[in-house]
Amino acid sequence: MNKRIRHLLTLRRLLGALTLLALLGAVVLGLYGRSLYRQVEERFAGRRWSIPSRVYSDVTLLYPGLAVNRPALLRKLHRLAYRPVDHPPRQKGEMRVLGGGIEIYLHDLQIPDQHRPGFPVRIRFEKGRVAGLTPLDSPAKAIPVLTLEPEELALFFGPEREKRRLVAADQLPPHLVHAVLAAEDSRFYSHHGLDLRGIARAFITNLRHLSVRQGGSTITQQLAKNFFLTPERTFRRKLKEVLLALVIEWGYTKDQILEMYLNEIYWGQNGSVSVNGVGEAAGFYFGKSPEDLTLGEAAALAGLIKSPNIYSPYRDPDRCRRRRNEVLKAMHTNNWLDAAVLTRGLAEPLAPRAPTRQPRRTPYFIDYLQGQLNMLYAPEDLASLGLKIHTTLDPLVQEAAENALLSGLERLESLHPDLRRQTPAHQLQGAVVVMKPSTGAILAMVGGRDYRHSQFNRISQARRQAGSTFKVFTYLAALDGLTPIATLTNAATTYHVDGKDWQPRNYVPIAAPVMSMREALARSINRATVDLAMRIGMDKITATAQGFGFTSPLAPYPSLALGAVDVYPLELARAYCVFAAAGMQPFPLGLRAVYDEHGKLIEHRPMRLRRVTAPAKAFLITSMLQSAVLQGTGQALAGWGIHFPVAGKTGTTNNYRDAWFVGYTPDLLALVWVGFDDGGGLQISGAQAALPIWAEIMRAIPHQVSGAPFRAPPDVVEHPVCTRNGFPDVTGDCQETGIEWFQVDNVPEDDPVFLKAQSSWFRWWHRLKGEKHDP
Amino acid sequence: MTPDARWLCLMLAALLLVACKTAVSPPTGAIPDTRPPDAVAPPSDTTPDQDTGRQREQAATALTERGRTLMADGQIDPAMRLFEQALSLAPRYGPGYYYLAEAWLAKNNFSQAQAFHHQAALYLEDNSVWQRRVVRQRRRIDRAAAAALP
Repeated sequence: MNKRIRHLLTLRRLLGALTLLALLGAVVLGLYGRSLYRQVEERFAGRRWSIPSRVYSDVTLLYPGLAVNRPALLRKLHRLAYRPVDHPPRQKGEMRVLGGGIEIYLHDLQIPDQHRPGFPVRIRFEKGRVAGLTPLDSPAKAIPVLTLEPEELALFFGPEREKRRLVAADQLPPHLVHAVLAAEDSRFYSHHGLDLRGIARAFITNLRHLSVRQGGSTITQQLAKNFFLTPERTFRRKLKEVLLALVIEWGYTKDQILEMYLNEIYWGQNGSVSVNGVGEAAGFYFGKSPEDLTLGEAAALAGLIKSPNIYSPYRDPDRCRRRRNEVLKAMHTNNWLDAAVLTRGLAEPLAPRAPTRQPRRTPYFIDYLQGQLNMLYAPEDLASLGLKIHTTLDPLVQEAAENALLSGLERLESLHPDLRRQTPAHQLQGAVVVMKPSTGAILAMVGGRDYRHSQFNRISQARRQAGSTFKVFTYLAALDGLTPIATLTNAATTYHVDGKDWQPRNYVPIAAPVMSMREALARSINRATVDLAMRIGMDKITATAQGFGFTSPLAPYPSLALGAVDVYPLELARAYCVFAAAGMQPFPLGLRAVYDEHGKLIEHRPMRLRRVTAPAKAFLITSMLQSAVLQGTGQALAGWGIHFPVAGKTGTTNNYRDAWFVGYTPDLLALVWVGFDDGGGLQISGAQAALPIWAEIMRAIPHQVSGAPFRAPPDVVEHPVCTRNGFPDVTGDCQETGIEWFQVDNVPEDDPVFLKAQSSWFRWWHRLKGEKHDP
Repeated sequence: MTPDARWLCLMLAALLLVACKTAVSPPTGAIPDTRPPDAVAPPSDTTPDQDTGRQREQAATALTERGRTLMADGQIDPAMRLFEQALSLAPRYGPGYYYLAEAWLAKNNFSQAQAFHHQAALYLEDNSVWQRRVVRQRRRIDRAAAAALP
């Protein structure tokens, strides 16, 4: 009896202890669960993902009449994920290239402030120009201007180097959701984080094959694992995964969990960058937004989740197709597809977009841009906030500038073998910047020959001697009182500078003892330029040049007139914009706007202008620089196929260390510099080294060059003058006549010699105009 | 030749000269043959030549109209973007400058409003209808700038 009582008591004690233990366990578990929930809440309430900021080019505008470089346009369309097809485009992202045009089903244009649904359009070409833009479904309707979406240029990554594009659950088409559920967790909407049936099935399958063939993890477990756990495979970690899954299910709705999962998971690799989330994956594999995926594409994407690298359509298309078909069949088994749709899905060809790399494009420009962005945002914000950074860069111009610079430098080395250097660090260098002079937009920036060997940006960071490109500021300063026909001396003259004698020399012997201002600038005559500088005063020249915003100190020595000053090439390009833009200087723009991840504008950099000189003076300089291209140091341009109006100036510095060409049209300005970083001599001029590169760029970008003439402002007038060899004749021997431009308040009285030389016809014209200068 | 015929010729010549007044034709001369080596092939199948400025202006007008619609909705920054696009197509497109001046005026940046207004005045000089608007714009900018003075 006592024994039985003792047993009962022992049992009671045991039960009590067990109950206590269970209660204690429950309390501990509750507390642990609460702690996990706090952890989950904290993680999910804050920023869930680090989204790299994306840098975009400018949009491309197409309109009737636009000249196009078709191969370059096709390359651009390829970069924009348009896939060539041999039938009329039926889906967004398809294009058919025809003899006389292209048919494109445009992607949605989803840049901030501009939203346009994609639609099919026909671009018709004639004689190298866009002849018409019409919607495919209503050919009678003409489109005046068509915007092509910007290209992605770069991403600012964090250390994890993940690409991700967030999508909301309501953006996802049902067939994509069903495909993912069929592939990963078909009972997702009916379990509470753990799928016991799934676990049992996986256990039996794995036991039967004596290997891990099937996982029993639910979508919620996978989400818990990705967000909170390390990849180690231990019992403790598995237990924590289960608890976390239960906690997540308790605190969040199924749709919220699915949305987080689809934005989170790893979907493959693009070079060193991982592709995460369904938004990025849809773009990476099919060049589409998730909502535009077909059934087959959605199933293929869902099939990839299991092992993105094994089932990658790029690595093994057959395996990818088999996996896709498994997913489609699983969808049918779950009654998410009827038999007919399943058949269609199985028959759908697997057509991923052409594989794209994540190249480091436009690296010098991106570095220049990053310098500006770093003043606005901390690097960790750039790497995580998912900003959309819109720039002014035109990839077609950038491509042309990069190609022209590289081929130009190689050509120089082949024509002048002494320019070759053995090591990349010492080889011949060059740099290009292309700008819109009217707006200041930087369309292209190439800071060096090869970014892999040198990241030094010779456009924005190098200070090089400006040489003859700086002469324009002397001539501009002179236009306050003088005109392009003012007489300058070419005589050898010695000047006393700082107690020393200095005698400027011309690059090549020039016989003419005197010449006009126009000729002196066009032929870049040093002696005449210094003569002019002495007449107007160095202080005035210095003040004029300073007005253009050069940050380099400008010492008022006579050699300044010849360009003995180091300048940043970008500042020089910006200064020349003034002449193309009627005296207004634009602020150089690389960054246009920054939008946050929700598309809200947070930084806007509009074009800004500053009056630097009068439109009349800017035009006179342009006109003289046109002479430089037609008859002066830049006349080789015609030989390089440039036959539209261009104003430009060559530059060659002491010992041929720097070779420059700055040329512009009313639409576009490009500066080219060639030289050695160590200051070694080129022994060739700007016209030989830099000008051909300029010409090649222009010929490759017809869409940016209208060929329009420069137009005189209203306060500039023509007036007849004596000429010789195309320049104003200041020798007093009037053999030919031509016209010259003058500011309206500075038209000269006609020289008697001029009038004597005129035909009676010319004199009658003068009489008709009421002028009284009869010889 | 009779004096009347001479006068007729003279008038015709004068008319021709006046008609050509705005086109730039600096003194010309013979261009020496400085062709580059033949080894360098043209990079593309097209070369820029004389564009019909009218088509560029039509595209610029379409963009400006869209910009005006945005500006009427109070969306100044997006509107400015479209006006700038118009100017990037047609750098002498006066209405683009005019509306950018309006946009800067709306942003109370009077120095920029004046800068763009000056360009508008320059490029719209030949258009009497626009000239009246430009004059009125000038007055509005001056008044707003004066009112903003402390």
